[in-house]
Amino acid sequence: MWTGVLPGPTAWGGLPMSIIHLSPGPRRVARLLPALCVAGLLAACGGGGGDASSAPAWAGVTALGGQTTNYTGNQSSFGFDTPAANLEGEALALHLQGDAAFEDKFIRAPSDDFPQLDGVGPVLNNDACVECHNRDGRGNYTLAALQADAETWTKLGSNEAIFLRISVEPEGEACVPSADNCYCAPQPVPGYSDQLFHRGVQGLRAESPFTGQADVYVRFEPSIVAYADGETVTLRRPVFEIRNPYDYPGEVPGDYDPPVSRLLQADVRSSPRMGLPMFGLGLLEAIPEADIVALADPDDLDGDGISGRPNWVCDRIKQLQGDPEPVSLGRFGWKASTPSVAIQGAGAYRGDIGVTNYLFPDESIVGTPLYDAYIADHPDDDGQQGAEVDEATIKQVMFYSNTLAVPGRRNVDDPGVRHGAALFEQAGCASCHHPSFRTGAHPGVWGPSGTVAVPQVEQQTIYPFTDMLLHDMGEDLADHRSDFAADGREWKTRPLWGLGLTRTVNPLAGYLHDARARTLPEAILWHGGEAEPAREAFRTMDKADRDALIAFLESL
Amino acid sequence: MQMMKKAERILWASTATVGVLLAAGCGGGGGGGGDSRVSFDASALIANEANNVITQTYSDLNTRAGLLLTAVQALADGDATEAELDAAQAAWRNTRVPWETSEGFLFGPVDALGVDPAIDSWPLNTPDLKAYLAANPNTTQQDIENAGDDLRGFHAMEWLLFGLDDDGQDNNDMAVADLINQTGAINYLVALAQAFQAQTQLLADSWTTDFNGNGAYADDVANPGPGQLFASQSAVVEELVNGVIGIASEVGAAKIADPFGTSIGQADTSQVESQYSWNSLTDFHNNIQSVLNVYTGKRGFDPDTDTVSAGLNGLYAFVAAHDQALAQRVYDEIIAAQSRIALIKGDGDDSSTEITGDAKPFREQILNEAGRALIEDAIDAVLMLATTLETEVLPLVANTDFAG
Repeated sequence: MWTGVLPGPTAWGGLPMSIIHLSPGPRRVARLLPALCVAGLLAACGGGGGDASSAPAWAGVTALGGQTTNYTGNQSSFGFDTPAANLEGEALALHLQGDAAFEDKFIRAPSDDFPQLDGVGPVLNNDACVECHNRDGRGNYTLAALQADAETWTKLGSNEAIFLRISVEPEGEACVPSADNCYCAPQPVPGYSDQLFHRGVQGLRAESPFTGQADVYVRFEPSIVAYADGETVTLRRPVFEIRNPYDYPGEVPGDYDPPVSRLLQADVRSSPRMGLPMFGLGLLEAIPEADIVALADPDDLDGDGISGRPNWVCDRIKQLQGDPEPVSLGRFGWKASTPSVAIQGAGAYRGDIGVTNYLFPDESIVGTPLYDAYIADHPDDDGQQGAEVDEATIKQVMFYSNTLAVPGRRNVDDPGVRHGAALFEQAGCASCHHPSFRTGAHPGVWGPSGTVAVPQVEQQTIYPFTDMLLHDMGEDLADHRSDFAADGREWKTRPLWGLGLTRTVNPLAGYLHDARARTLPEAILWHGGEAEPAREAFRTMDKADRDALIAFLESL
Repeated sequence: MQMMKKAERILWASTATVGVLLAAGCGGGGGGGGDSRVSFDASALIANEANNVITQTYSDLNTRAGLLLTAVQALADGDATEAELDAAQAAWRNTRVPWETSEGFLFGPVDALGVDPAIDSWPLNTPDLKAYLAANPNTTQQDIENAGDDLRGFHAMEWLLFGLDDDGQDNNDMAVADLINQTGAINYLVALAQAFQAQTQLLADSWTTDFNGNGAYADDVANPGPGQLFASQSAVVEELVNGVIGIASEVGAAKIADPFGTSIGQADTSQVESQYSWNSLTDFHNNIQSVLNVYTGKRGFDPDTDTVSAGLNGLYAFVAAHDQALAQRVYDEIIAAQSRIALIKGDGDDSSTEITGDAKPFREQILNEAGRALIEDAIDAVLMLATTLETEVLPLVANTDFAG
């Protein structure tokens, strides 16, 4: 990883200039000059107008991310990977360093040639951040999996943006949150961990090269739903199967009753997680906790059928700081099970990639027989005591992850879009997809050598369309796996900003936690539980209104 | 190269410069275009870029990947000979050309399919490769598809075809005996080439025939509209402009600048792309050729025999509609960037990047002052292009009334 000054000043374009060499970042030079440009663009792109009297007040807003909003890549596949427009100078430089590191590919340790990039695994799901967050957007299944027929299993390989969370959850034992149980953190599967790693490094499993803890297979089951007007939609959901676990190689579910492998026992819960978009995260972290909690209605006292519960989760940083009550509001991940971008990201380094760091210094599978056997043969791949990626790099990447621009909205004056915004509100979507917040202070990115501030996301009026709370989404989406305070039917309300660019950024991307929905209508039709009335409102609209609602979502 | 596909590592921090860039970036068409809006029908441009530039680049890549597979299969068929190794090396270089000329448009299927990490990752893990070859002499294509990106793709093939001799990157004279003596290498090479060709086939098919049941992706690009992947002509032009900015920035600020370092002492040869084959300068040249192809609208545009014009339906036509002088200046900067890259090799010849005679490879030039001066010139030329594209061309998109 580089920092420093390139030879300069040098004559370039007739202009004397010194060149500061920084780690790679997304484009570009002009990002040094956001303030004036943004002011101009905001004026140009400003606020909607139009005459749809029933459209909500926010219907014409374009600056979904306040002053971070991007207007130079907001129509194309660059929509999610552009620096916040209000980044300048050293802050932009730090962002660009993080962008470079976000793309770094890690290899097995030790490597004499690439010591800064070694440490992957020994088990992993992928080897670089960007592989699960394509162009900082959602991940996708492989084409082979997407195109297989309903009966054909496809093995997850080396190009996957999805993995399974795993845990054991004994029947009938309600968890009471406390510091001792890390506020009902999922319990790892004995001999495994709380995440299933389907890949392994060279030398991990001699009998099954490149397999991690187990192989994972997927296929898609179709179902059909009909709109009230008779038009039908074919939905499909992924089904996963775990095979070839390391503690009983070759075993497939059904081989033995009961199964032999610990991983295949009945008390093991699993839940898929597809890679999520990276933009706007710092803004979400800067929403005042009180403003989120104020929206909660766990017992539905207002009788609107919508509960909304905060997830309260174990906070790794508070633990390291010695806080006796290391609990925080969960904000990130499909179940709001991590409190900050830093913990989400550093956890992904350690988990998904197998790269230890100062927040998570031990390999995910340390203490398991698989790890012990590997280390016995490869004593020099010992996790480097949490330093497989250094503090400076973690801070760069976490600053980057906090400061990616939200793409500016498009087509806000289109009558159909404005009508769709009104329908969005009338159908009850906005009850959970809460339109707007005003951000407050951001806690910064903490590390032992200091905290990096993220002032760019503070004091911004934002339109994420999420209440940041958990909601019962019904049986069809339920994973039956608890995650801190979230139960097996609850999911965090996803932000909707940037939604319309999802498949421009990644044409194979899907929606929802397991990317089952190929289109926005499919995603809506999967809504259940508390969202069932809103879904039914959509399902029973006439086609013109459905199209208008979708046009509104695509304008985000 | 996957490790840093959108990396642009240089910022110009002087206050004076930022002031100039501000004026250019915010004024809208700093070359004289002013703030006036221009009407432009990009339908022919978009169709040409999608169908003739991008799609045919991928088809060409797939064709050449097939030739590469044939060439490495010849090595496996009977006793491998020096002539077969030479042919396979040439086939590898030949395949490298369309891939590097595709890096100005790394959007859509190439990204969603994971082609880039599967075929062009760096770093390579040569210790693990050796261990794997020793333990698995009968590798199959399926094994390669499950392997890590650090064990496959262009650079794994490059190492096996160019880098197995003891002095590796220091010269470029590997003999076929080095390949034969590496247990499992030829078999692995064939499996690599098979997996590689499978990737290029998927990529080409997705643009020409069908992408996940939604028809040819080229049609999605060529026919933008509400509710489509690209909602307007403006969206496609924005995509194309940002794409060429991305690769120009990456070449100038990462691919060349990273190994170059801040001083000779900080130069890092481990980061040199295509270092076993000494193909680095050709890679850089072809990256800028990617810009030239998209900009002119002609795949394989040759400045010695072709003439840029709006009739070629490239980005030049779009820029010229705003500002003819700017359109020409961007073209000149592309040509200048290619020239400066060729001069890095130190023999004074700006027409070729081939390492012959007195020419020295990029990996060697970062380690001597004379070479570094030439490299600095090249960085400046490439980044001037990147900056012009970003601060003067990109703002034109918002100042255009597109026809759809």
